[in-house]
Amino acid sequence: MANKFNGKYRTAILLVLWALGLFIFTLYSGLK
Amino acid sequence: MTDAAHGHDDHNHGHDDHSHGDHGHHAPPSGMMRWLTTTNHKDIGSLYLWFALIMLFTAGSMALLIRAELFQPGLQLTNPDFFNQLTTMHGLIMIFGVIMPAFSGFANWQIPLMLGAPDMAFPRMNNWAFWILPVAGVLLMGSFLLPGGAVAGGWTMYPPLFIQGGISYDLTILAVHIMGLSSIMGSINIITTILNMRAPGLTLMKMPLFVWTWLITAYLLIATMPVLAGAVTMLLTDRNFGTSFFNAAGGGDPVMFQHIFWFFAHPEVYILILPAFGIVSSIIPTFARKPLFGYASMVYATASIAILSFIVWAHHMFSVGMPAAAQLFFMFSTMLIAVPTGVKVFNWVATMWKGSMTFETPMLFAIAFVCLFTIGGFSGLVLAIAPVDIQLHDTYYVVAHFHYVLVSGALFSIFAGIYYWLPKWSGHMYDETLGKWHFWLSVIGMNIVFFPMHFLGLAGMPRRIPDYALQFTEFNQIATVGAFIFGFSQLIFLVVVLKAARGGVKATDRVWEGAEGLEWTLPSPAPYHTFETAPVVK
Amino acid sequence: MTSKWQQAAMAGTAWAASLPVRAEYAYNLQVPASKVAQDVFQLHNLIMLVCLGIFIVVFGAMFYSLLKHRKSVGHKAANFHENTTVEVIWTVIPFVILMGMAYPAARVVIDMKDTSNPDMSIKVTGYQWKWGYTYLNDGVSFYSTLSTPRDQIEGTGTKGEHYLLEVDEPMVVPVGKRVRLLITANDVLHSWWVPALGAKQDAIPGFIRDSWFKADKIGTYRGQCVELCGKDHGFMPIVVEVVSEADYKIWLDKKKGAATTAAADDGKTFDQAELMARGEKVYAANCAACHQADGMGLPGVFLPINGSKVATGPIDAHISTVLNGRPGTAMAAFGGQLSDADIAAVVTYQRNAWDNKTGDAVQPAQIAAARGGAEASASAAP
Repeated sequence: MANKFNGKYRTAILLVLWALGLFIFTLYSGLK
Repeated sequence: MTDAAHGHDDHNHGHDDHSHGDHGHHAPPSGMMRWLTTTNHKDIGSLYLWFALIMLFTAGSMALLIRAELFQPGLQLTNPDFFNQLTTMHGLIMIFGVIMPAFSGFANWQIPLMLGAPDMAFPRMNNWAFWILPVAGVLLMGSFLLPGGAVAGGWTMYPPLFIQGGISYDLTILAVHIMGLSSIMGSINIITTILNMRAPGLTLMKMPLFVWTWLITAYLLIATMPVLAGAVTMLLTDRNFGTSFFNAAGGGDPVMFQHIFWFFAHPEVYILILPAFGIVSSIIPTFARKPLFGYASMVYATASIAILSFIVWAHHMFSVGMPAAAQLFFMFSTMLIAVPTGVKVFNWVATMWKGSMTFETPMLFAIAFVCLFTIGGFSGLVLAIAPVDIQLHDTYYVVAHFHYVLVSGALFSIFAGIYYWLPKWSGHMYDETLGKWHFWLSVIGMNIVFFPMHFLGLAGMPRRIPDYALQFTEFNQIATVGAFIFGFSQLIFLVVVLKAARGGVKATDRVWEGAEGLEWTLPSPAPYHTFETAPVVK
Repeated sequence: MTSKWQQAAMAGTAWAASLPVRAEYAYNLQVPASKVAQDVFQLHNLIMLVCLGIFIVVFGAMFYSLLKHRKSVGHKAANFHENTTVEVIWTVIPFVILMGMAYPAARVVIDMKDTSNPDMSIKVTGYQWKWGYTYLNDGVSFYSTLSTPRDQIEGTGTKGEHYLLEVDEPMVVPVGKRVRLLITANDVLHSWWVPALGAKQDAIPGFIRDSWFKADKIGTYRGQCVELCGKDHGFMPIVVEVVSEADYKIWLDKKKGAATTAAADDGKTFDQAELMARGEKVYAANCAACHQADGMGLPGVFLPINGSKVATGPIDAHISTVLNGRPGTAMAAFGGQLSDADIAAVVTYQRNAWDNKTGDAVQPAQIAAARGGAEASASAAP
C-alpha cells in the first residue's frame, strides 16, 4: 500500500460527487 | 516470498496493512472472521463468485417452477399472483444477484493481477461493497414470507402497479438501493484502481481488453445507478409519502418512470455484457494461440457501444405512444449499435482465423458465446425496427432475445471465465470431461428452451402470463423440457467447481499453452499477496 | 417503385404464405388482416432474410476456421493481429445494410402513427381486469370480460377452442372502415393489442393515446393485454369482430336498445330473489377474481366478505365501499363501472350469501342517493 499519494482519493471523491449530483438531479427532474 | 494459497501470510514484509504500532506479527483471522473482515481482492473475488453461484441456483429454481407451470395451459402449480412474484424475483435476482456479482468477482480477482497492482485501490470499501449484497438478498428472498408475498410487479417495477403492492415492495426498493450502492462502490474502486495503480510502463492501450471492458462498465455503472436510485426513491415516496411523481391524478405521469428507469436500464444491459466481451477476448487468443485481432478497434467499439447506450432507451417503450419523430430517432440510434457490436464479432472470428485452435472447455464456451450472443443480437435488431417491435413488444420474442444475450451471452462467458482462471486461482486443473459434459448439455438445453420462444412471440403469446391459449402449447412444452435439461446440467458445474477447489492435477504457472498476461507469470494458485512490488512492463 | 429488396421480400412472403399453416407450430407472425399488419409482416421477413444472410456468411467463416485452423490437424498459428482496411470495410458495409433497412421501416412508422381521417372512433379503457369500449359516434358503451369458465382454467373442465381468448361482449366494427382508438386506463398500465390487425397501444391511466386500424376482411380477431397489470393480466383478452356494414348497423341498434333497458332498470324496484340472482352474476364477473367465489378472499392479500364487518354492518358503509373503493389498495371504485341496479344487486347478494344472513335488500334508488352530490352519473359507461 505504498502508493497512498497516487491520486486515488481525488479520483474517488470526483466519482462520489458525480454520483450524488446525478441522484439529486434525477429526483429534481421528476418534479413538475 | 509470501506463502502459497490458503490465506495464511507471515506478514514479514516492510509494509503491510496492519499499520498502527505492530508488536510482532499476528496471523490474519481464520474461519468466519477471515471472510467477514477480509480486504484481500482475491478473497473478495471468491466471495462474489460463491454468492453469485448460490443465487444462480435460487433464481434458477424459480425459473424451473415457472416453466413447470407453463408446461400446459391451465393453472396447475401456482396462482397468478405467486406466478408474478416468481417472474419478478427471477429477473431481479439473476440480474442483481448473479450476473453483476459474478462479473464483480472476476473484476476483483483479475484486475489487480492484470495491472500488476497489489490490491484494489480501496480494500476496506471493497469488503463493504460485497457484504451489503447478502443483506439485500435476505430482504428480497425474505419478502416471500411477508403478507402479500414477494414483489410481483415485474423487475421493471412500473407504476402505477408498483404503487399498489404491499410491504415487500418497499423492502425491494430498499434492496435495490443497497445493490446500487454496492455497484457504485465497486465502480469507484475499479475506476480508481485502473486509472491510478497500473504498473509502470502499462499504458492504457497496453491493458488487457478485460480491464478495458471493466473500466468502461464501471463508468456506465457510475453514470446510471444514481438514476435508478432516483427512480425507485420516487416510487417509495409515491407509495408512502403522498407524492405524485407517477400519478396522473396528482399531476404526475406513469410514463416518466419508464423514461427514467430505461435511461438507467438500457446502459445496464451493456453493463451486463461488456465484461463478457472482455472475458471472451482473453480466452479466444489463448486457445487460438494468436493475438487478439484489432485490439484498438475493440477498445473503440466497446467505448462506442457504451456511449450509444445512452441515447437508445426509449426502444423499450415503442408502444407507449410517443410521436413518430421520437420513434424514428430511437429506431435509428438503436440500429446503429449493431455496427460496433458487429465489429467485435468480426474481430473475434478474425482472431480464430488461421490460428492453431484447441477446444478445452473455456474455448468451447467462448465460441458458443460468439455464435449464440450474435443470434441474440439479431433478434435485438429485429426489435429495433419500431413497427415490428409494435407487434413483438411484451411478447415471448423479447424473452427469447434477452435470454439469448444474457444466458448464452453473459452466463456462458462467466462459465468460460471460471474454467479459464480457476486453475490459476485454486492451483488445480478442473475435470475436463465433466466440463465438456456441462458445456454440451448447457448449449443444447439452452437452445431448446429459448429458440421456440421466438416463435411463441411471433405467434402472439404475451409475456408474464401464467396461462395461455391452446395454440401456444407445443412450443411451451418443448421449452419446459429444455429448461429442466439446462437447469439440472448446472449441477455438473457445481461438482466441477467443488472438485477443483479441493484437489486435482496441479496447475502450472502458465496453465494454458497460449496464455499471455501478467497473471500467468504468477504461481498457481496465485499467492495471497501478489505484486507487492510492481513489475516493470515493457 | 418497389426496390429490389422489397421485391425479394414479397417473393419471400409469397413463398412463406404458401407453406401449410399449422397453428400449433406457427413460425411467423399471424396472418395479416390489415395493410399495416401486412406491411409489418413483410418488413419482418426482409429483416430476417438480411440476418440470415449475415449469419451464414459470418458463421460459415467461423465454422470453416474451427475445422481447418486447429492444432490437431497440424495448422500453425499465423501472427497477424490488425488491419485497418478490413476494420473500415466491416464497419461501413453493416452501416450501409442498416440504412437499407431503415428506409422501409420509417415509412411504416409514419403510417402507423397517422390517426387522421377516421371513419369512427372508439374509446378503449383498460381495467383490472377487463376492457371497456365506448363508441364515441353512437354513445354505445359496454365492458368486455373474459368468458372462459373458471373450471376450464383450474383443470376440471375441457378447454374450449378459444380458451382464454373469448369475451362476453366483443368489439364489433364494420369491415374496411378506418377505426380510431382512443386508449386509456382506469387504474394501472395495460396495453391493447390485436396481432392480426397490427395495432398495439399502451393504456395509461390519466392519459389518452391514440392508434388506428382498418380491417381488410370480415372475421374474428383475438388479442390480449400486453402490459403487466396485476394478477389477472393474462385473463383480459380482446376480441374484435369485423362484420359487414349491414351487420354492424344491426348490432349497433341492438346495443342501443340494451342500453335503454339497463337505464330503465335503475328506476325499478326488485324483489329479493331478483336481487340475489342478479347480484350473484355481478359478483362472479366483478368481485370473485379477488374475493373468491366463496367470499373468503386471499389471506393477507384480499379481504374476505363472508363474515366481514362491512357486509354485515351498516348498509351505507357497505354501499360506499363498493361505490368509492379503498384508495391506496387494490379495491377499485365500482361506482364508475356498474349501474345502480347492478350495485344494488351485488350489495344485496354479499349481505345474504354464504354465512352472511342480514336479510337486507338494497334498491337502485338507494345507490343513486348514495352517489349524491354531482350529476346522477351515467354510471355504466366505461
